[in-house]
Amino acid sequence: MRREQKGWEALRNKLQNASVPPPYPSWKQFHQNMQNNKDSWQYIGRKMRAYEHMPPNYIKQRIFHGGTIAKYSPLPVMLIGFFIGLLSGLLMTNRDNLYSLLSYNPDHITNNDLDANYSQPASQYVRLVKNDVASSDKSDVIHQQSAPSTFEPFSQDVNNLDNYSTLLADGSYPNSGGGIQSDNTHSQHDVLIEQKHLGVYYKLSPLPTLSPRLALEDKVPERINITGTERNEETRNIPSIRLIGEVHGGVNISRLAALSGNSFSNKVLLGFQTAILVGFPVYRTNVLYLALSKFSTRVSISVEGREYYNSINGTSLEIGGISRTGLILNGKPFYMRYGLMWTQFHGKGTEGIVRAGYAPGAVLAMRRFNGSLGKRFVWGWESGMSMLFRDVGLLNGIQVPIHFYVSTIISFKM
Amino acid sequence: MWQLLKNLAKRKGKFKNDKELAKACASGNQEAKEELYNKYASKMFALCLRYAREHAEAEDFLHEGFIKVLATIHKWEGKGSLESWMRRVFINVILEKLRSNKHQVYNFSSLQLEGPDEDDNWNSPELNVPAPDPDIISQLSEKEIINLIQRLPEGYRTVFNLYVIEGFSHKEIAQMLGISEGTAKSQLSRAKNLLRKWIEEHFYFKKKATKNA
Repeated sequence: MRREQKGWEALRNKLQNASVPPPYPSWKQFHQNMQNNKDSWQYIGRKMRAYEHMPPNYIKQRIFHGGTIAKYSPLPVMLIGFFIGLLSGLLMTNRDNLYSLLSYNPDHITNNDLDANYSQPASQYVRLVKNDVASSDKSDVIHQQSAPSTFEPFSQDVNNLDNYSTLLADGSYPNSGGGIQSDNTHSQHDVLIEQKHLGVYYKLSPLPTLSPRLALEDKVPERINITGTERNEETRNIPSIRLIGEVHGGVNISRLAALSGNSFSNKVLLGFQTAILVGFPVYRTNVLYLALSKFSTRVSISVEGREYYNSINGTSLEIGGISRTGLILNGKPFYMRYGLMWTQFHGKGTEGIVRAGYAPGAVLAMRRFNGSLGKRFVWGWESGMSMLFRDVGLLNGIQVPIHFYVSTIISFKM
Repeated sequence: MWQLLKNLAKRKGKFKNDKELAKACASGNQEAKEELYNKYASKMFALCLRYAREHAEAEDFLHEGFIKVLATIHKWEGKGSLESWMRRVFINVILEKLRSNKHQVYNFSSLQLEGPDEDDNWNSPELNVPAPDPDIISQLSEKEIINLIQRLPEGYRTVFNLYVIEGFSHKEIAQMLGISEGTAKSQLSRAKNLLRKWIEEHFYFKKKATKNA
C-alpha cells in the first residue's frame, strides 16, 4: 500500500472504533427524553441549551434561512404579500363587525384603554376592597396603588379573588361612570391581573364586557409572573427592544385570557389563531425568542417567584419542568407562540385588534415559506395591512415593513 | 467499597453477550436497555460527532439513533456484531436527519452544483489525493481528529465519513445521498485535501506549542 493511503487507513482505524468520554447525555437523560415526545419541555429544554451556545449568525440562519434558499425575486413575493394583506384588511375593515366579533362596546373604550402599556396614570389602578364592604367604607381597603412611577410588588394572595371587588382611587366603582352598569358584585369586578416586575397588580379592565371573571377563574395564572423587567418606557420604543417585547408578549398574558373570554366568537377567533400557530415549530419559536432575548433586553420568566430564565446572564435554573420559553397555565403548557400571536394585540385601538387577525397569517407565511421568502412575504403583508389600518395610510404602509425589517436586523446585530 | 463493587458489577453487565442483551431489549427489559446504552453510547457518540457540525447536533443524533435502535433491535438477527448493526442504524438515522433538515448546508442535492469536475471519467481521485502522514495521525488524539472533521463543510464531511471511515463505495454513497458518483468523488477529493492540510497544520502548531512549553 502506498504511504499516502496508509495515512487514510490509519485515520480510519483510529476513528472507526473510537469512543469518546462524556459529556454526552447519560442514560437517565436519554430515558427521560425518550419518555416524552419531541414537543416535550424536556426536549425543548435540551434544544434550547444547544442553541444557547451557538453563535448569533447560526441562530439567525436557523430562523431566517432555515429552509431552502429563496429562489424567487423578492419584489413579486412582497407584492403578493401586500395584496393579500390589503385584501385581508378590506375584509376586516368594518370596525363595528370587528368590535362585535370581539364582543365589546367601542363606545366605552378608548384606544388608551386598549393600549394598556406601562404609561397609564395611577388613576387607572384600583384599590381592592373586600367585596361585601360598601364603597364608602374605606377602612377595609386592603391595597391601594399609589404613585404611578413606582410599581411596588403587591403581595396580596391572589388565590381568592372572588372575595374582592374593585374600587377606583376616588372611591367609585370602575364602571359606574362610563355608562356601563356595575352591580358591585364580583361578577362585574373588572379587574385584570397585570404583572409587573415581580409583583402582581390588579388593574381596571379596559375591556369591561369580556367577562374578566371567567378570565380570572379559568385562564389567568394565579401565581405566575412573567416579567420583562427592562421593558419600560425608556426601552420599549427602541425597535429591537420593542420586538423582543412583542415576542415576549406573554407579559400581557392576562389580557389574552381576558380577550378569550366567554364569548363564542372570541373562542372561535382564538381557536383559529391557535390552530394556525400550532403549526409553527416550537423550536423555531424558541430560537427566535432566545435570539431576541439574548441580543436585546433582559427577559425573565418566573413562576411562583422562582426565576426560570433570565436572558441577561443566561441563567436557567431549571429546564425540565418548564421551558424557558413557555409556561404552564393551569397545568397545561402555554406556548410562547401564543405570545407571538398575542403581541399583535398590543398595538393601539383598532390596529391592535386587527393585527391580531393577521399576525397568525404572518407567522403562517413565515412557516410556510420557511426562510427569506417568508420574510419578504411578511413584509409585503405588513405593508398591505398597515396601508389600511394605520391612519396615515401609504406612508405607514411603507414604514411598517421597514420598521419590521430594521428591528429584526437590529435585534441580531446587537 | 460497596459502591465500587456495585459499579464493577454494573460495568460487567447482567447479560452474557450481545445476543442476550438484544433479546432482552427487544422484550422491553429496562435494565437491558440501560446496559445497551451505557455500553455503546460513547462509541456511537463518537460516530455522531463525526457527522455533526457541533456537540449539540451530535447529541440529537445520539438521541434519535438510540430511539431507532431500541425500536428496531428485534430485527437484528445476530449476524455480525451488534455494534456494526447499530452503526448502520445510526448512519441511516443521521443521513435521514440531515436529509430531512431543510438547512441549506444539508441539502445534498446542492452538492451537484459544487463540483465543476463532475464527470464519469473520474480517474480514481482518492488515489490522487495525498494522505496525511500516518505518524502524524498516530500522534493526534481521536478527539482532535474528530474536531477537524467537524470543521469540514457538511457535504464534504458526510461523503468523507461514509467513504473513508465507514467504507462505503462511491456508488453506495451516491445512492444514499441522492447525488451522482462524480459528485461524491469530487466531494471526497476536496474533503481529503482540506483535512490533510488541517491535520498537518494542527500537528505543526501542536508540536510548536509543546516545544515552547
